[in-house]
Amino acid sequence: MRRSLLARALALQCTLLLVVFSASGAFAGPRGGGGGGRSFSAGGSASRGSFSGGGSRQAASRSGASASGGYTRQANRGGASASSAQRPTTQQAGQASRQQSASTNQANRQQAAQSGTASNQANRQQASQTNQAARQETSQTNQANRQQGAKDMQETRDTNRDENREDWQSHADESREDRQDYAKEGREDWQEHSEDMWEEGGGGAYWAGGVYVGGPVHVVHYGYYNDNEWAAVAAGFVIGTAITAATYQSATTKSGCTLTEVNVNGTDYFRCPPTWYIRVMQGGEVNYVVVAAPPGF
Amino acid sequence: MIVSAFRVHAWWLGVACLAVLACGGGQEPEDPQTPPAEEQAPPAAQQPAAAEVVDEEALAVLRHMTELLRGQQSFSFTADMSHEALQETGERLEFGATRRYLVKRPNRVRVETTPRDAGPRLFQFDGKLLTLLDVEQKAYAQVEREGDLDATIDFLQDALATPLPLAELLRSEPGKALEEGWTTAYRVGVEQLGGVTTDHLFLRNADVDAQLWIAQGDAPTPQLVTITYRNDDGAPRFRAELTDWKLAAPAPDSAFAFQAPAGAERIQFAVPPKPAATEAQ
Repeated sequence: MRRSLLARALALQCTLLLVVFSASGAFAGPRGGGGGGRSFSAGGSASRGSFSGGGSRQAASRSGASASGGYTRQANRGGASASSAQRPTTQQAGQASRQQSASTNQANRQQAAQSGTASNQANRQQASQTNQAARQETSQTNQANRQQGAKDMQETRDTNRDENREDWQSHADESREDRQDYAKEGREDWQEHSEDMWEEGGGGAYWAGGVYVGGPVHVVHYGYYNDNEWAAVAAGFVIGTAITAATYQSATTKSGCTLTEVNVNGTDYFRCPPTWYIRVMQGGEVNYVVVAAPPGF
Repeated sequence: MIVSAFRVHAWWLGVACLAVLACGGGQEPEDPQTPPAEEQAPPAAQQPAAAEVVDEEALAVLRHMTELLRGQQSFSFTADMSHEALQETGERLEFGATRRYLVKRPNRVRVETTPRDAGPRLFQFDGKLLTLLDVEQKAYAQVEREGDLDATIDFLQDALATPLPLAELLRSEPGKALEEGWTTAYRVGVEQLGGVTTDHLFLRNADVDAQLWIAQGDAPTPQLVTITYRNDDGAPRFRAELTDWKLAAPAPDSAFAFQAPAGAERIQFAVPPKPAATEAQ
Protein backbone atom coordinates (compact mmCIF):
# COMPACT_ATOMS: atom_id res chain seq x y z
CA MET A 1 0.00 0.00 0.00
CA ARG A 2 2.74 2.37 1.03
CA ARG A 3 4.71 1.37 -2.06
CA SER A 4 1.70 2.17 -4.18
CA LEU A 5 1.45 5.67 -2.70
CA LEU A 6 5.09 6.36 -3.31
CA ALA A 7 4.79 5.16 -6.88
CA ARG A 8 1.95 7.63 -7.43
CA ALA A 9 3.96 10.44 -5.86
CA LEU A 10 6.89 9.63 -8.10
CA ALA A 11 4.69 9.61 -11.16
CA LEU A 12 3.15 12.95 -10.18
CA GLN A 13 6.53 14.56 -9.62
CA CYS A 14 7.87 13.34 -12.95
CA THR A 15 4.74 14.62 -14.65
CA LEU A 16 5.26 18.04 -13.12
CA LEU A 17 8.83 18.10 -14.33
CA LEU A 18 7.77 17.22 -17.81
CA VAL A 19 5.18 19.99 -17.74
CA VAL A 20 7.87 22.47 -16.75
CA PHE A 21 10.09 21.37 -19.60
CA SER A 22 7.23 21.59 -22.02
CA ALA A 23 6.33 25.04 -20.86
CA SER A 24 9.84 26.34 -21.23
CA GLY A 25 10.00 24.88 -24.68
CA ALA A 26 6.74 26.48 -25.64
CA PHE A 27 8.20 29.95 -25.23
CA ALA A 28 11.39 29.18 -27.05
CA GLY A 29 9.91 29.64 -30.45
CA PRO A 30 10.25 32.73 -32.55
CA ARG A 31 8.02 35.64 -31.69
CA GLY A 32 8.18 37.06 -35.12
CA GLY A 33 9.41 36.27 -38.52
CA GLY A 34 13.06 36.20 -39.26
CA GLY A 35 14.04 35.58 -35.72
CA GLY A 36 15.65 32.33 -36.55
CA GLY A 37 14.10 30.59 -33.59
CA ARG A 38 15.32 33.05 -31.00
CA SER A 39 13.38 33.60 -27.85
CA PHE A 40 12.59 37.07 -26.62
CA SER A 41 12.23 38.09 -23.08
CA ALA A 42 9.85 40.90 -22.32
CA GLY A 43 11.01 41.11 -18.72
CA GLY A 44 13.94 42.60 -16.94
CA SER A 45 14.24 45.48 -14.55
CA ALA A 46 13.73 48.12 -17.20
CA SER A 47 10.39 46.68 -18.14
CA ARG A 48 9.03 47.55 -14.73
CA GLY A 49 8.92 51.23 -15.42
CA SER A 50 8.77 51.75 -11.70
CA PHE A 51 9.35 55.03 -9.95
CA SER A 52 10.35 53.33 -6.77
CA GLY A 53 13.80 54.01 -5.45
CA GLY A 54 14.19 57.70 -5.43
CA GLY A 55 17.15 59.41 -3.86
CA SER A 56 18.44 62.89 -3.66
CA ARG A 57 18.81 65.01 -6.72
CA GLN A 58 22.39 65.56 -7.59
CA ALA A 59 24.68 66.95 -10.19
CA ALA A 60 23.64 65.93 -13.60
CA SER A 61 26.03 65.15 -16.34
CA ARG A 62 24.09 65.21 -19.54
CA SER A 63 26.40 64.05 -22.19
CA GLY A 64 27.94 60.84 -23.30
CA ALA A 65 27.63 58.66 -26.27
CA SER A 66 23.91 58.25 -26.07
CA ALA A 67 23.46 61.98 -26.40
CA SER A 68 24.69 61.78 -29.92
CA GLY A 69 22.09 59.36 -31.16
CA GLY A 70 24.53 58.02 -33.66
CA TYR A 71 24.76 54.48 -34.86
CA THR A 72 28.49 54.41 -34.46
CA ARG A 73 30.77 56.00 -31.98
CA GLN A 74 31.32 59.28 -33.67
CA ALA A 75 34.62 59.73 -31.98
CA ASN A 76 36.02 57.31 -34.50
CA ARG A 77 35.57 60.06 -36.98
CA GLY A 78 35.92 63.07 -34.88
CA GLY A 79 37.38 62.32 -31.54
CA ALA A 80 40.75 62.30 -30.02
CA SER A 81 39.94 59.20 -28.14
CA ALA A 82 36.67 57.52 -27.57
CA SER A 83 37.91 54.40 -25.93
CA SER A 84 36.03 53.64 -22.82
CA ALA A 85 39.34 52.95 -21.13
CA GLN A 86 40.14 56.62 -21.23
CA ARG A 87 36.77 57.82 -20.28
CA PRO A 88 36.94 57.75 -16.52
CA THR A 89 40.02 59.87 -16.24
CA THR A 90 38.17 63.10 -16.46
CA GLN A 91 34.70 62.16 -15.57
CA GLN A 92 34.98 64.29 -12.50
CA ALA A 93 36.80 67.07 -14.24
CA GLY A 94 35.67 70.62 -14.20
CA GLN A 95 32.81 69.68 -16.37
CA ALA A 96 32.65 71.94 -19.31
CA SER A 97 31.20 72.01 -22.74
CA ARG A 98 28.54 69.41 -23.06
CA GLN A 99 28.58 68.21 -19.52
CA GLN A 100 26.09 70.47 -17.85
CA SER A 101 26.80 69.66 -14.29
CA ALA A 102 25.06 71.69 -11.72
CA SER A 103 26.43 70.38 -8.50
CA THR A 104 28.25 72.58 -6.10
CA ASN A 105 31.28 70.36 -6.25
CA GLN A 106 31.46 70.44 -9.96
CA ALA A 107 30.89 74.15 -10.12
CA ASN A 108 33.60 74.63 -7.58
CA ARG A 109 36.00 72.45 -9.44
CA GLN A 110 35.34 74.31 -12.64
CA GLN A 111 35.87 77.62 -11.00
CA ALA A 112 38.98 76.32 -9.34
CA ALA A 113 40.34 75.16 -12.63
CA GLN A 114 39.59 78.45 -14.26
CA SER A 115 40.98 80.44 -11.43
CA GLY A 116 44.03 78.28 -11.49
CA THR A 117 44.54 79.29 -15.05
CA ALA A 118 44.26 82.95 -14.34
CA SER A 119 47.74 83.96 -13.51
CA ASN A 120 50.35 82.31 -15.60
CA GLN A 121 51.19 79.28 -17.54
CA ALA A 122 52.97 77.50 -14.73
CA ASN A 123 50.09 77.93 -12.38
CA ARG A 124 47.68 76.69 -14.92
CA GLN A 125 49.65 73.64 -15.79
CA GLN A 126 50.25 72.77 -12.22
CA ALA A 127 46.64 73.19 -11.34
CA SER A 128 45.62 71.16 -14.31
CA GLN A 129 48.00 68.36 -13.52
CA THR A 130 46.98 68.32 -9.91
CA ASN A 131 43.36 68.28 -10.79
CA GLN A 132 43.82 65.60 -13.35
CA ALA A 133 45.75 63.38 -10.99
CA ALA A 134 43.12 63.91 -8.35
CA ARG A 135 40.39 63.16 -10.79
CA GLN A 136 42.03 59.99 -11.96
CA GLU A 137 42.51 58.78 -8.45
CA THR A 138 39.01 59.67 -7.46
CA SER A 139 37.60 58.08 -10.56
CA GLN A 140 39.46 54.86 -9.99
CA THR A 141 38.40 54.82 -6.39
CA ASN A 142 34.82 55.38 -7.34
CA GLN A 143 34.91 52.64 -9.89
CA ALA A 144 36.28 50.18 -7.42
CA ASN A 145 33.79 51.28 -4.85
CA ARG A 146 30.90 50.88 -7.20
CA GLN A 147 31.77 47.24 -7.47
CA GLN A 148 31.66 46.87 -3.74
CA GLY A 149 28.16 48.06 -3.41
CA ALA A 150 26.06 51.03 -2.65
CA LYS A 151 27.08 51.38 0.92
CA ASP A 152 30.75 51.68 0.21
CA MET A 153 30.05 54.00 -2.68
CA GLN A 154 28.06 56.31 -0.50
CA GLU A 155 30.93 56.57 1.93
CA THR A 156 33.30 57.27 -0.88
CA ARG A 157 31.08 59.98 -2.22
CA ASP A 158 30.98 61.62 1.13
CA THR A 159 34.73 61.47 1.38
CA ASN A 160 35.19 62.82 -2.08
CA ARG A 161 32.83 65.65 -1.39
CA ASP A 162 34.72 66.58 1.72
CA GLU A 163 38.04 66.40 -0.04
CA ASN A 164 36.81 68.40 -2.95
CA ARG A 165 35.43 71.00 -0.67
CA GLU A 166 38.75 71.33 1.07
CA ASP A 167 40.63 71.35 -2.19
CA TRP A 168 38.44 74.10 -3.45
CA GLN A 169 38.91 76.15 -0.34
CA SER A 170 42.66 76.07 -0.58
CA HIS A 171 42.55 76.44 -4.30
CA ALA A 172 40.38 79.50 -4.07
CA ASP A 173 42.67 81.13 -1.58
CA GLU A 174 45.67 80.61 -3.77
CA SER A 175 43.88 81.65 -6.88
CA ARG A 176 42.65 84.88 -5.43
CA GLU A 177 46.17 86.17 -5.17
CA ASP A 178 47.08 84.84 -8.55
CA ARG A 179 44.23 86.66 -10.14
CA GLN A 180 45.69 89.99 -9.11
CA ASP A 181 48.21 89.71 -11.90
CA TYR A 182 45.78 88.21 -14.26
CA ALA A 183 44.92 91.31 -16.25
CA LYS A 184 48.55 92.25 -16.83
CA GLU A 185 49.93 88.95 -17.83
CA GLY A 186 46.91 87.31 -19.20
CA ARG A 187 47.18 88.03 -22.84
CA GLU A 188 50.70 86.75 -23.34
CA ASP A 189 50.09 83.76 -21.19
CA TRP A 190 46.95 82.90 -23.02
CA GLN A 191 48.84 82.80 -26.25
CA GLU A 192 51.32 80.33 -24.83
CA HIS A 193 48.57 78.41 -23.24
CA SER A 194 46.77 78.22 -26.53
CA GLU A 195 49.77 76.72 -28.25
CA ASP A 196 50.35 74.25 -25.49
CA MET A 197 46.79 73.15 -25.45
CA TRP A 198 46.80 72.78 -29.15
CA GLU A 199 49.68 70.40 -28.93
CA GLU A 200 48.68 68.54 -25.85
CA GLY A 201 45.04 68.20 -26.48
CA GLY A 202 44.02 70.03 -23.39
CA GLY A 203 44.27 69.19 -19.75
CA GLY A 204 42.08 66.28 -18.99
CA ALA A 205 39.75 66.65 -21.91
CA TYR A 206 38.41 63.64 -23.67
CA TRP A 207 35.91 62.61 -26.24
CA ALA A 208 32.94 60.49 -25.37
CA GLY A 209 30.86 59.22 -28.18
CA GLY A 210 31.43 62.22 -30.32
CA VAL A 211 30.95 64.67 -27.51
CA TYR A 212 33.87 66.69 -26.24
CA VAL A 213 33.90 66.66 -22.51
CA GLY A 214 35.81 68.78 -20.10
CA GLY A 215 39.01 70.60 -20.63
CA PRO A 216 39.84 73.84 -22.33
CA VAL A 217 38.40 74.99 -25.58
CA HIS A 218 39.55 77.28 -28.32
CA VAL A 219 37.48 80.21 -29.25
CA VAL A 220 37.72 80.39 -32.97
CA HIS A 221 36.71 82.91 -35.47
CA TYR A 222 35.78 81.27 -38.69
CA GLY A 223 36.92 83.98 -41.00
CA TYR A 224 38.19 81.21 -43.12
CA TYR A 225 38.18 77.51 -42.78
CA ASN A 226 39.55 75.15 -45.37
CA ASP A 227 38.18 71.70 -45.64
CA ASN A 228 40.63 69.30 -44.13
CA GLU A 229 42.69 72.06 -42.65
CA TRP A 230 42.13 73.61 -39.32
CA ALA A 231 43.10 77.08 -40.32
CA ALA A 232 40.73 78.90 -38.12
CA VAL A 233 42.32 79.73 -34.84
CA ALA A 234 42.20 82.32 -32.24
CA ALA A 235 39.77 85.04 -32.26
CA GLY A 236 42.15 86.84 -30.00
CA PHE A 237 40.53 85.69 -26.89
CA VAL A 238 41.53 82.67 -25.45
CA ILE A 239 40.72 79.79 -23.92
CA GLY A 240 39.58 78.37 -20.78
CA THR A 241 37.33 75.66 -19.65
CA ALA A 242 33.84 76.49 -20.67
CA ILE A 243 30.99 76.37 -18.23
CA THR A 244 27.34 76.21 -18.96
CA ALA A 245 25.06 79.18 -18.67
CA ALA A 246 23.44 77.57 -15.66
CA THR A 247 26.78 77.02 -13.95
CA TYR A 248 27.82 80.55 -14.78
CA GLN A 249 24.67 81.90 -13.19
CA SER A 250 25.19 79.79 -10.14
CA ALA A 251 28.86 80.66 -9.76
CA THR A 252 28.44 84.39 -10.21
CA THR A 253 25.44 84.51 -7.93
CA LYS A 254 27.24 82.59 -5.25
CA SER A 255 30.31 84.79 -5.44
CA GLY A 256 28.21 87.83 -4.68
CA CYS A 257 30.05 89.93 -7.25
CA THR A 258 28.50 92.82 -9.08
CA LEU A 259 28.08 91.67 -12.63
CA THR A 260 28.79 94.18 -15.33
CA GLU A 261 28.63 93.88 -19.08
CA VAL A 262 30.65 95.84 -21.58
CA ASN A 263 30.88 95.62 -25.32
CA VAL A 264 34.38 95.88 -26.71
CA ASN A 265 35.00 95.61 -30.41
CA GLY A 266 31.64 93.98 -30.92
CA THR A 267 32.05 91.40 -28.22
CA ASP A 268 30.08 91.35 -24.99
CA TYR A 269 32.26 90.85 -21.96
CA PHE A 270 30.81 89.89 -18.62
CA ARG A 271 32.75 90.85 -15.56
CA CYS A 272 32.44 89.25 -12.16
CA PRO A 273 35.48 90.83 -10.56
CA PRO A 274 38.16 89.92 -11.01
CA THR A 275 37.07 87.44 -13.68
CA TRP A 276 36.03 88.25 -17.22
CA TYR A 277 33.86 86.02 -19.36
CA ILE A 278 32.63 85.91 -22.88
CA ARG A 279 29.92 83.72 -24.30
CA VAL A 280 30.69 81.10 -26.86
CA MET A 281 28.69 78.60 -28.90
CA GLN A 282 29.84 75.18 -27.88
CA GLY A 283 28.22 71.91 -28.72
CA GLY A 284 25.11 73.71 -29.91
CA GLU A 285 24.55 75.73 -26.78
CA VAL A 286 25.81 78.91 -25.22
CA ASN A 287 28.56 78.52 -22.66
CA TYR A 288 30.81 80.93 -20.82
CA VAL A 289 34.59 80.94 -20.86
CA VAL A 290 37.04 82.91 -18.81
CA VAL A 291 39.13 85.32 -20.84
CA ALA A 292 41.67 88.00 -20.32
CA ALA A 293 40.38 91.45 -19.64
CA PRO A 294 39.46 93.28 -22.81
CA PRO A 295 41.68 96.08 -24.07
CA GLY A 296 41.38 99.12 -21.90
CA PHE A 297 40.34 97.27 -18.76
CA MET B 1 11.44 0.01 9.24
CA ILE B 2 9.42 2.91 8.03
CA VAL B 3 12.47 5.15 8.06
CA SER B 4 14.37 2.60 6.05
CA ALA B 5 11.58 2.39 3.50
CA PHE B 6 11.62 6.15 3.13
CA ARG B 7 15.33 6.12 2.47
CA VAL B 8 14.89 3.54 -0.26
CA HIS B 9 12.04 5.41 -1.85
CA ALA B 10 13.86 8.70 -1.64
CA TRP B 11 16.77 7.13 -3.44
CA TRP B 12 14.51 5.83 -6.18
CA LEU B 13 12.86 9.22 -6.40
CA GLY B 14 16.22 10.86 -6.96
CA VAL B 15 17.19 8.34 -9.63
CA ALA B 16 13.89 8.76 -11.38
CA CYS B 17 14.13 12.54 -11.41
CA LEU B 18 17.65 12.43 -12.76
CA ALA B 19 16.38 10.19 -15.51
CA VAL B 20 13.64 12.66 -16.30
CA LEU B 21 16.14 15.51 -16.35
CA ALA B 22 18.36 13.56 -18.69
CA CYS B 23 15.34 12.81 -20.80
CA GLY B 24 14.36 16.47 -20.92
CA GLY B 25 17.87 17.46 -21.84
CA GLY B 26 17.87 14.98 -24.63
CA GLN B 27 14.74 16.46 -26.05
CA GLU B 28 16.26 19.93 -26.41
CA PRO B 29 16.75 20.62 -30.09
CA GLU B 30 20.34 20.96 -31.03
CA ASP B 31 21.24 24.29 -32.47
CA PRO B 32 23.39 23.65 -35.51
CA GLN B 33 25.01 27.04 -35.01
CA THR B 34 26.11 26.33 -31.49
CA PRO B 35 29.87 25.92 -31.54
CA PRO B 36 31.54 23.08 -29.69
CA ALA B 37 32.07 23.70 -26.03
CA GLU B 38 35.74 24.42 -26.41
CA GLU B 39 35.01 27.17 -28.90
CA GLN B 40 32.50 28.95 -26.77
CA ALA B 41 33.50 32.12 -25.00
CA PRO B 42 33.96 31.77 -21.27
CA PRO B 43 30.63 32.52 -19.66
CA ALA B 44 32.03 34.31 -16.66
CA ALA B 45 30.59 37.78 -16.24
CA GLN B 46 29.68 37.98 -19.87
CA GLN B 47 26.30 37.88 -21.46
CA PRO B 48 25.79 35.10 -23.93
CA ALA B 49 27.07 36.14 -27.30
CA ALA B 50 24.36 36.69 -29.86
CA ALA B 51 24.69 34.71 -32.99
CA GLU B 52 26.17 36.87 -35.66
CA VAL B 53 23.52 36.48 -38.27
CA VAL B 54 22.70 39.14 -40.80
CA ASP B 55 19.26 38.38 -42.07
CA GLU B 56 18.65 39.57 -45.60
CA GLU B 57 15.00 40.07 -44.81
CA ALA B 58 15.92 42.63 -42.17
CA LEU B 59 18.34 44.38 -44.48
CA ALA B 60 15.66 44.52 -47.14
CA VAL B 61 13.32 46.31 -44.75
CA LEU B 62 16.13 48.67 -43.86
CA ARG B 63 16.94 49.28 -47.52
CA HIS B 64 13.31 50.01 -48.25
CA MET B 65 13.44 52.78 -45.69
CA THR B 66 16.77 54.28 -46.75
CA GLU B 67 15.76 54.31 -50.40
CA LEU B 68 12.60 56.15 -49.52
CA LEU B 69 14.57 58.84 -47.69
CA ARG B 70 17.24 59.04 -50.36
CA GLY B 71 14.59 59.63 -52.99
CA GLN B 72 12.99 62.53 -51.19
CA GLN B 73 13.92 65.98 -52.40
CA SER B 74 12.64 67.27 -49.11
CA PHE B 75 11.14 65.82 -45.98
CA SER B 76 10.45 66.70 -42.39
CA PHE B 77 9.73 64.88 -39.17
CA THR B 78 9.64 65.41 -35.44
CA ALA B 79 11.67 63.32 -33.02
CA ASP B 80 10.92 63.18 -29.35
CA MET B 81 14.14 61.81 -28.00
CA SER B 82 15.76 60.90 -24.75
CA HIS B 83 19.06 59.54 -23.66
CA GLU B 84 20.54 58.13 -20.53
CA ALA B 85 23.60 59.62 -18.93
CA LEU B 86 25.50 57.65 -16.36
CA GLN B 87 26.58 59.86 -13.53
CA GLU B 88 29.96 59.62 -11.94
CA THR B 89 28.28 58.35 -8.82
CA GLY B 90 26.56 55.61 -10.73
CA GLU B 91 23.10 57.02 -11.19
CA ARG B 92 21.55 56.69 -14.58
CA LEU B 93 19.65 59.82 -15.52
CA GLU B 94 17.56 60.56 -18.54
CA PHE B 95 17.53 63.79 -20.50
CA GLY B 96 15.70 64.65 -23.61
CA ALA B 97 14.67 67.03 -26.30
CA THR B 98 12.21 67.39 -29.11
CA ARG B 99 13.68 68.10 -32.51
CA ARG B 100 11.94 69.13 -35.67
CA TYR B 101 13.95 68.30 -38.78
CA LEU B 102 13.49 69.83 -42.21
CA VAL B 103 15.74 68.65 -45.01
CA LYS B 104 16.01 69.85 -48.56
CA ARG B 105 18.49 68.13 -50.78
CA PRO B 106 21.19 68.62 -51.63
CA ASN B 107 22.35 71.20 -49.13
CA ARG B 108 19.77 72.67 -46.84
CA VAL B 109 18.80 71.63 -43.37
CA ARG B 110 17.00 73.14 -40.43
CA VAL B 111 16.71 71.53 -37.00
CA GLU B 112 14.69 73.17 -34.25
CA THR B 113 15.57 71.76 -30.86
CA THR B 114 13.68 72.19 -27.65
CA PRO B 115 15.52 70.55 -24.79
CA ARG B 116 13.44 69.52 -21.82
CA ASP B 117 15.55 71.66 -19.55
CA ALA B 118 16.44 74.68 -21.66
CA GLY B 119 15.11 77.10 -24.19
CA PRO B 120 14.78 76.44 -27.90
CA ARG B 121 17.75 76.26 -30.21
CA LEU B 122 18.21 76.23 -33.92
CA PHE B 123 20.67 74.68 -36.31
CA GLN B 124 20.37 75.92 -39.83
CA PHE B 125 22.31 75.68 -43.07
CA ASP B 126 21.17 77.49 -46.17
CA GLY B 127 23.84 76.14 -48.47
CA LYS B 128 26.33 78.86 -47.62
CA LEU B 129 25.94 79.89 -44.05
CA LEU B 130 25.79 77.60 -41.07
CA THR B 131 24.09 79.04 -38.02
CA LEU B 132 23.56 77.87 -34.48
CA LEU B 133 21.15 79.96 -32.42
CA ASP B 134 20.24 79.79 -28.76
CA VAL B 135 16.95 81.64 -28.56
CA GLU B 136 16.78 81.99 -24.81
CA GLN B 137 20.35 83.20 -24.51
CA LYS B 138 19.84 85.52 -27.47
CA ALA B 139 23.12 84.50 -29.05
CA TYR B 140 24.11 82.87 -32.30
CA ALA B 141 27.26 81.79 -34.10
CA GLN B 142 27.81 81.50 -37.81
CA VAL B 143 30.35 80.20 -40.26
CA GLU B 144 30.40 80.35 -44.01
CA ARG B 145 30.56 76.96 -45.58
CA GLU B 146 30.12 75.26 -48.88
CA GLY B 147 29.12 71.71 -49.35
CA ASP B 148 26.24 69.30 -49.33
CA LEU B 149 24.37 67.87 -46.40
CA ASP B 150 27.00 65.25 -45.72
CA ALA B 151 29.82 67.77 -45.53
CA THR B 152 27.72 70.01 -43.36
CA ILE B 153 26.84 67.22 -40.96
CA ASP B 154 30.49 66.17 -40.79
CA PHE B 155 31.58 69.72 -40.13
CA LEU B 156 28.98 70.20 -37.45
CA GLN B 157 29.86 67.01 -35.66
CA ASP B 158 33.61 66.94 -36.17
CA ALA B 159 34.80 70.51 -36.37
CA LEU B 160 32.20 72.09 -34.15
CA ALA B 161 31.79 69.09 -31.86
CA THR B 162 28.04 69.50 -31.97
CA PRO B 163 25.98 66.33 -31.92
CA LEU B 164 23.13 65.88 -34.35
CA PRO B 165 21.09 62.87 -33.32
CA LEU B 166 19.72 60.69 -36.09
CA ALA B 167 21.97 62.43 -38.59
CA GLU B 168 22.20 59.22 -40.60
CA LEU B 169 18.64 59.73 -41.72
CA LEU B 170 19.50 63.10 -43.24
CA ARG B 171 22.49 62.05 -45.29
CA SER B 172 22.42 61.97 -49.03
CA GLU B 173 23.06 58.24 -48.94
CA PRO B 174 21.32 57.02 -45.82
CA GLY B 175 21.85 53.47 -46.97
CA LYS B 176 25.60 53.78 -46.62
CA ALA B 177 25.23 54.99 -43.09
CA LEU B 178 22.58 52.52 -42.05
CA GLU B 179 23.00 49.31 -44.00
CA GLU B 180 26.67 48.64 -43.53
CA GLY B 181 28.67 47.38 -40.63
CA TRP B 182 26.05 45.29 -38.90
CA THR B 183 27.31 42.03 -37.54
CA THR B 184 23.84 40.96 -36.49
CA ALA B 185 20.57 41.92 -38.08
CA TYR B 186 17.19 40.28 -37.92
CA ARG B 187 13.53 41.07 -37.89
CA VAL B 188 11.98 40.59 -34.49
CA GLY B 189 8.45 40.67 -35.77
CA VAL B 190 5.54 42.80 -36.82
CA GLU B 191 4.30 45.22 -34.22
CA GLN B 192 1.70 47.93 -33.85
CA LEU B 193 3.04 51.29 -32.84
CA GLY B 194 0.54 54.05 -32.29
CA GLY B 195 -1.76 52.55 -34.86
CA VAL B 196 1.03 52.05 -37.38
CA THR B 197 2.01 48.56 -38.43
CA THR B 198 5.77 48.30 -38.25
CA ASP B 199 8.60 45.89 -38.81
CA HIS B 200 10.68 45.64 -35.68
CA LEU B 201 14.38 45.19 -36.51
CA PHE B 202 17.33 44.40 -34.31
CA LEU B 203 20.78 45.51 -35.48
CA ARG B 204 24.17 45.15 -33.88
CA ASN B 205 27.56 46.47 -34.86
CA ALA B 206 30.81 46.69 -32.94
CA ASP B 207 29.55 49.53 -30.78
CA VAL B 208 25.80 49.54 -30.48
CA ASP B 209 22.64 47.52 -30.36
CA ALA B 210 20.00 49.33 -32.35
CA GLN B 211 16.33 48.66 -32.82
CA LEU B 212 14.19 50.24 -35.47
CA TRP B 213 10.48 50.10 -35.96
CA ILE B 214 9.83 50.87 -39.60
CA ALA B 215 6.36 51.47 -40.97
CA GLN B 216 5.09 48.89 -43.41
CA GLY B 217 3.61 49.95 -46.69
CA ASP B 218 4.52 52.49 -49.31
CA ALA B 219 6.03 54.96 -46.89
CA PRO B 220 8.43 52.95 -44.74
CA THR B 221 9.51 55.70 -42.39
CA PRO B 222 11.17 54.94 -39.08
CA GLN B 223 8.73 55.30 -36.22
CA LEU B 224 10.89 54.43 -33.25
CA VAL B 225 14.62 54.08 -32.74
CA THR B 226 16.54 52.84 -29.75
CA ILE B 227 20.30 52.64 -29.56
CA THR B 228 22.25 51.07 -26.75
CA TYR B 229 25.92 51.93 -26.51
CA ARG B 230 27.25 48.64 -25.30
CA ASN B 231 30.86 49.66 -24.88
CA ASP B 232 30.16 52.66 -22.74
CA ASP B 233 29.95 52.52 -18.99
CA GLY B 234 26.46 51.56 -18.02
CA ALA B 235 25.52 50.89 -21.64
CA PRO B 236 23.39 54.02 -21.91
CA ARG B 237 20.44 54.07 -24.23
CA PHE B 238 19.14 56.58 -26.71
CA ARG B 239 15.51 56.53 -27.76
CA ALA B 240 13.59 58.54 -30.31
CA GLU B 241 9.97 58.47 -31.36
CA LEU B 242 9.61 59.85 -34.86
CA THR B 243 6.30 61.38 -35.77
CA ASP B 244 4.68 63.81 -38.13
CA TRP B 245 6.56 62.59 -41.17
CA LYS B 246 6.06 64.74 -44.22
CA LEU B 247 7.56 63.48 -47.42
CA ALA B 248 8.02 66.03 -50.18
CA ALA B 249 7.53 68.60 -47.46
CA PRO B 250 7.25 72.25 -48.41
CA ALA B 251 10.76 73.65 -48.08
CA PRO B 252 11.10 77.16 -49.42
CA ASP B 253 14.57 78.67 -49.25
CA SER B 254 13.22 81.16 -46.77
CA ALA B 255 12.83 78.31 -44.30
CA PHE B 256 16.60 78.00 -44.20
CA ALA B 257 17.58 81.65 -44.32
CA PHE B 258 18.65 82.92 -40.95
CA GLN B 259 17.10 85.99 -39.44
CA ALA B 260 18.80 87.08 -36.27
CA PRO B 261 16.30 87.79 -33.50
CA ALA B 262 16.20 91.33 -32.27
CA GLY B 263 18.89 91.98 -29.72
CA ALA B 264 20.74 88.74 -30.37
CA GLU B 265 24.51 88.83 -30.12
CA ARG B 266 26.73 87.10 -32.58
CA ILE B 267 29.27 85.07 -30.66
CA GLN B 268 32.17 82.83 -31.57
CA PHE B 269 32.37 79.09 -31.65
CA ALA B 270 34.34 77.28 -29.02
CA VAL B 271 35.87 74.06 -30.17
CA PRO B 272 38.07 71.37 -28.73
CA PRO B 273 41.73 72.29 -28.72
CA LYS B 274 42.78 69.60 -31.10
CA PRO B 275 41.62 69.21 -34.65
CA ALA B 276 39.34 66.28 -34.26
CA ALA B 277 40.13 64.50 -37.50
CA THR B 278 43.85 64.43 -36.84
CA GLU B 279 43.62 62.50 -33.65
CA ALA B 280 41.17 60.03 -35.00
CA GLN B 281 43.67 58.70 -37.45
